[in-house]
Amino acid sequence: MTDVFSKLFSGKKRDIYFERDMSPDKSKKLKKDIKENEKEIHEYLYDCDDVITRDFYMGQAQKHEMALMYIDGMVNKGDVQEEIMKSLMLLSRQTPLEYSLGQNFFNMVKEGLLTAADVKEVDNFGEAVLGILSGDTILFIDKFEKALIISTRGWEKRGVQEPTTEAVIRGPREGFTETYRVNVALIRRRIKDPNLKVKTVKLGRHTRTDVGVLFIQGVAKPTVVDEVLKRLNTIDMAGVLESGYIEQMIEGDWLSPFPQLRRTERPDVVAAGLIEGNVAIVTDNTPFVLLCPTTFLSLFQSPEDYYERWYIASMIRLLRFAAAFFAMTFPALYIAMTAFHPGMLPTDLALSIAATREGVPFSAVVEAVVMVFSLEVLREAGVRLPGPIGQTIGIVGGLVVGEAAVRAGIVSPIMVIVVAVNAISSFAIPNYSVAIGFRLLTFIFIILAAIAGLYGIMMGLLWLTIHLVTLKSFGSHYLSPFVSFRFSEVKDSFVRGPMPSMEIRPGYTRPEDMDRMNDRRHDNMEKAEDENADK
Amino acid sequence: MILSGKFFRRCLLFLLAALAFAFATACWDYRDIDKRIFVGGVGIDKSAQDGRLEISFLIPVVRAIAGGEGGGGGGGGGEKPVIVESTIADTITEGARNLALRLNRDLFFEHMRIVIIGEEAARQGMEEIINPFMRQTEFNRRSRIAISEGEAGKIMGIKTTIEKLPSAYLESIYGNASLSGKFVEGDLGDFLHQIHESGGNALVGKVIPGADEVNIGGGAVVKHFKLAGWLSEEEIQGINFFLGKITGGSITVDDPRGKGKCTFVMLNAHRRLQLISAGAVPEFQLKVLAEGNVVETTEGVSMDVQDEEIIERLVSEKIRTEIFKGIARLQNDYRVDLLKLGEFLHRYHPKLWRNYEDRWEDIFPDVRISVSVTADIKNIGVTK
Repeated sequence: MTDVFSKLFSGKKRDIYFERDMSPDKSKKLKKDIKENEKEIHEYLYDCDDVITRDFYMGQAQKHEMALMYIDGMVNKGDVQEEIMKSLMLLSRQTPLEYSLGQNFFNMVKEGLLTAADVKEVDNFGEAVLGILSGDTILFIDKFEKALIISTRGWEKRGVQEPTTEAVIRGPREGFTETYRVNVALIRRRIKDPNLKVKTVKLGRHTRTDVGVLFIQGVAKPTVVDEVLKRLNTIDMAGVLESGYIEQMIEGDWLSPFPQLRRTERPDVVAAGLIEGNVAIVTDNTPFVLLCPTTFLSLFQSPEDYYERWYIASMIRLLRFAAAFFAMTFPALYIAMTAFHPGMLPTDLALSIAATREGVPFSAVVEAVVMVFSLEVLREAGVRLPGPIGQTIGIVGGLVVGEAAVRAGIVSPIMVIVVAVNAISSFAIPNYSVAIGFRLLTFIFIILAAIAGLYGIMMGLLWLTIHLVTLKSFGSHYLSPFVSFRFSEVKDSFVRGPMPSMEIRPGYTRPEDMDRMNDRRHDNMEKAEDENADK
Repeated sequence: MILSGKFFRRCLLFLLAALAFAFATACWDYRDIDKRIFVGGVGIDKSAQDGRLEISFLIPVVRAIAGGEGGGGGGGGGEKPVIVESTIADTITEGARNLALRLNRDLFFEHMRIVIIGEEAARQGMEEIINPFMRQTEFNRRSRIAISEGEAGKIMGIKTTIEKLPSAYLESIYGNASLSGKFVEGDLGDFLHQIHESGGNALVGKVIPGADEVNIGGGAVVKHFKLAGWLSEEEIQGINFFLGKITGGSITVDDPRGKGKCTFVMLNAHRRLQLISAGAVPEFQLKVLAEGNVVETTEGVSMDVQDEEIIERLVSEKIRTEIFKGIARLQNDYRVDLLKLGEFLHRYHPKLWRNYEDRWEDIFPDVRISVSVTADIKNIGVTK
């Protein structure tokens, strides 16, 4: 037994592992002999049964030995067969070739024979192995100390579908998918500007996830871009499986209940953010793209705010803020009002609340905590259960259990209303992570209200305000535009002003170029003045 | 590493803040809403035992009021919606404490709607009765206050049929009565303010208890914290005209064309008070403009411009008489300045006021007031 283990974990294997800094080891150069190269690669990919090696000769004369290596399932086999093997083995026969071109033979293959679109040269093992692992195919040619990485990435993937977490009534139906390149392309399709830059880094010691930093040069502030790249490069984790990993690793205040990066599934939101001067972080294997810097107010925005006319958009926005307030404080307000300050209620309401509470065994606080808690359980259960059953659980839990609990006299009907309004309000917030943050704060506010009534709630709100005022997201004030106040930006805060009036980009991103639109009226006026002067 | 000193300092700070909450505030104020008694009204009488007060508390039975649709037990149709608990004590607060021993829940006065003081108690002296209402914040300042003819406890005990709560019933008819102009408007807060400002003089509403309803109208004159006497509905309307508190109400006069009657409904009234001369006794002039519609005549349907003028004259004459009646009662019978003339002088002629200030009570009955009233008919209805 010990023999097997010592063989499996011998020191020999360990020293050719990748360095921890995640950049591929470029020091080990490829060899001349194709068999040695193959052997070396197999040493790297030791015990990886999904690696396929294909040896073949080019053309008719069995003179030039070649080898393909790729990982089964990560390449598009059709591409490998059509664009590499067919062109090298069959099509090459149609053109008479000088077989003894020597050093030029390699270039002949790369430039004249391979019909694949994306071909790269490598001369070291590190990059070659990384290429194989990323889904590319590597082509070794005998007698050359270099190889070709041919992009044949192609695996089973989900198509572009409607985003489920950010549905809109008016607006594009496209959402990001799990593939990095597709996602970047979705953004690029919206911004056909050479200034849209994509900088890719690889994160995660094991996962080597592609993470792209997108920004529009000349709009996004360079220091913010640098800061994002700097923070990304500090990440040294075993794996980055979702953009949430990155979000949590690079956010400024990880004790805050509020996310300091905005996440979205919608390419149009990312495009809008980039135009405003945001930096986008696109992560492979997830449809969620991060936008930074962000503000508290932008977390309440839905893309529809800009697609609908401004009256409607403004009203809906105000509704959302009201909903957020209720999502946070409604049960707490109920407790404070009934248990500490019943004088604030209208007499008839106070009496009817008192009457419905008659015979309820628990105090309002216990009732509220239990109800909010069970609602959270219901919500969680609804998420876990498959679609149709999830809805059933919602109905059974919400209606049947609630009704039964009221009938049994365990909870008062008014508390059911309070908790239901509280929960529904939280779903009116477009950003799920913010909504969940507010649901969490509900408990804190309930406790504060139970201790000190409205005074406690006020203290809680005060604490929240202090926290939000001090919070920063990549150097921008989280409560912008109210911190570092700028009056012209108020029209895109709690309300959304008419589109023609939004002439400048928001200040929180500190954009290089403030003008969102050319002031045509101003230009025309200048023109008219010039004409008058000519006369 | 990541749980560095900063994090722990924050945690500690938060803990301290939470502790401060617990100690600095009163979480013992917490009381579930169903464990409180919402006192609807308080009636104060002089008890048979001398020198003590008999206090009646109007207590709604919530289960009966909200209708027994839910709830575990109870909810019977025959349940009385209110109970009246009386206690005899030296002070109102003591009375409430006595009651707390008998009932198992906390008395809560922020939903108190009416305070009624019995005639006997009011005559004896109201200073100690109103004292707790001035001192404690829990008593609802917006509740109505009135003095009852007879015992206040009787009013607490009336059985109303339309409203379940007598206090709600009383409050709503107070509102109607105030609109008619024949009642003294103002809540407990106004009353306390007035009585405090004037050193014990105030005008309060008057209530007459019936079998299962109350009659509201007219007013009571409080002089030096003691009930001095009553004023009739017409006198109160006159005083309300004088004070500019008329927001509605009607005046009925004889129809000029015959034997019928004609009703003039006030839309609003303006008044203007002026100081004319300031000799040993000041002289005032009051101008009243009353606007309204003719809503009903018992005589014929047609009405021409001349008739209108005559009706306007008759109405203004009637209003003038009412005002004089009110003034005469206050000047001659009660000799107390509830017309707020002193306040008027103090406000607009502070230098003159200094001359009168000390002897105002003696001067007031001799003050001359001239009154001119203009009635203006805006609309006589669709028929011409």
